[in-house]
Amino acid sequence: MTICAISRRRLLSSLILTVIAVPPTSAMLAKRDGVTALLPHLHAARLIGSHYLALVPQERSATRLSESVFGDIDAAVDGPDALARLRALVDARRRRDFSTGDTVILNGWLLARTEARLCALSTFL
Amino acid sequence: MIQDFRQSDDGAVIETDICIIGAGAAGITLARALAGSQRKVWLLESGGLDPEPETLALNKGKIVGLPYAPLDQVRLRYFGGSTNHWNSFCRPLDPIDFEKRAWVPYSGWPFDRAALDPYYREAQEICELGPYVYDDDDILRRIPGVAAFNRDRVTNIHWTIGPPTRFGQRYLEDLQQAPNVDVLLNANVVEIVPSADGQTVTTLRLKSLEGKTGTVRPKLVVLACGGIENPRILLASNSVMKPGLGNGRDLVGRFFADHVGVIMGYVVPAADACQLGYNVPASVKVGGRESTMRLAPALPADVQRREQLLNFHIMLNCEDEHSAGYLALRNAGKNLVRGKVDGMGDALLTILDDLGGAAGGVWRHLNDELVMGVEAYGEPAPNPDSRITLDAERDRLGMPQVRLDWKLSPREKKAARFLCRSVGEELARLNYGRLYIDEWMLADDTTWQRPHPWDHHMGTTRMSDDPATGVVDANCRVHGINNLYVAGSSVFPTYGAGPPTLTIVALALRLADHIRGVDLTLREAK
Repeated sequence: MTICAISRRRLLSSLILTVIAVPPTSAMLAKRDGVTALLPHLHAARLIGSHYLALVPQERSATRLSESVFGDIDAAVDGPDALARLRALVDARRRRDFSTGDTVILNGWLLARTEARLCALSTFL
Repeated sequence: MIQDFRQSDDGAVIETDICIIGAGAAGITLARALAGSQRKVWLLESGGLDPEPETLALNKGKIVGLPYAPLDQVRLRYFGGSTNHWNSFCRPLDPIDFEKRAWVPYSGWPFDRAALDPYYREAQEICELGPYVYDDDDILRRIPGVAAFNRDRVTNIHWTIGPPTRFGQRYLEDLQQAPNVDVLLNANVVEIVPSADGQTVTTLRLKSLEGKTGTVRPKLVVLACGGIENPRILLASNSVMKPGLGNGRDLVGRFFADHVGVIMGYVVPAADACQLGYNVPASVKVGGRESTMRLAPALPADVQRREQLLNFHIMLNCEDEHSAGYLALRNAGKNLVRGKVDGMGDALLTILDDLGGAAGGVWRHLNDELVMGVEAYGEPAPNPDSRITLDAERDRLGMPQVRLDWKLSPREKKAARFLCRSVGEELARLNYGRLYIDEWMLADDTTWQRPHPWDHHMGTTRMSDDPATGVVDANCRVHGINNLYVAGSSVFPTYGAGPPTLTIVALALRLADHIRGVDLTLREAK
């Protein structure tokens, strides 16, 4: 382990452990706003996203990533509590990934595929 | 009766029915089990009732393979053997550990777990562990903070923790009271001598550090000196059989195994994760009796089969740092405060080798941050190239010292990595924290960083019904020698992920049952 890794750990823990705990603000229905709301530490998310895209270059497409993360849940996130519902849906997807072993290891960190894709999406913002 | 060989007449000759060499967990259990029988039993111990530096030094040897602690420190040579320093974490081997598994070459015992179950039950009492209950869902649920892992991926198991029982202190009086048992201290067996045809042991040659000699003429011999000394004595007993006793197939000393522990990474824990029951032992009442248990996530047998993996557990420890560098720094600091400078050189090397870990630990300590260290602990694959051989250098008794060439294979790393990842996924799914796994563990190769042997010396006189693949048969008798038996973990053909002592004691009880049925008059006639 290196000092650099500790720094990554802090970044990652602050990112991931708060990813589902963003305080509700105004409803953000657009995907771009949804991504930024889910990722309060955008800089850290982009760093992680870059690592993911380096590992899986075939996913280097905003459209494709957006489809992977949000493709089938657009219709569900409408209305005043949209962000809360979006968070819940992404959280469910994250848990499913962990449950089925659909995970990636980025710089030593174990992430759900959905989390990694969400971070990768942030690199296009 | 307890006697001291140093007080005997030089050249003394002992005639006996049964001679047990080595008074550790196996030897003491066997002697106690035979106490009160019609057979005369002598239990020989190299050391005395207390440790003495000159005797402990007889355990010195060379390390030529993976790094290993000095051989005169990883075991003890006085009455009670290595139970004088064990931590008494116990668990029977799992049923799958006894099976012949296609994906584990050389695997399989000649019998299944059910054959040992009644002996395990008795061994549990001897090791003073409380009720014999393992992997019972109802019991596991009583341990506070057990994680609801998906059982198709990760299972919860527990180790039972004893007082720990020091066999020498705990059972000395039993042996003193036994009318048919004599204990001979400070008696080193320097050679087991067979008949000219090599098929019957006739004599044991004894020597003391002071130069006194003696002879035992037994009808039946049990070698119970541990996984390093058992092959050493057999290989060194070569005045009649040149390759050594029981070594016609060049198997004695091969398949040396030790449970491998390795720090694989850590979990950044969520707020309540360190309250899980994995971090500290829990006291659980079972059938009105207390039992101390420690939880561990483990690979379910089904997953081992499906993924073709060895058996592994994981230990989770909440601490301010898990890295070797920081732990060495912390221990060195404590020792300096106490004025102890022994081992400071090794500590410094470890710190320099893992400077990042040491610095990170200091940083975390200053910031009161905890991490949950992830240490895999598991079964080594049987490996004929991992072995004990004799060295040219000799000890004070003239016995060749041993050379230990400990080897691991990619199989251990694969299983540890798979379990680590599964546990990380389950902990994340349950919102207990996030796993960081050290990069070197991700490579599918044979490299190891600081593998930590658990000083469980196994496999060097392995058991098999086939003399081509084993030194002893299913009754622990050396193939081709009608009155020589081996007790202890050196007979394990595969090793499981559980600590070995409970199995050592169970096997000794099973051996005692077998020996009670052996007709010694036939051996006398021979």
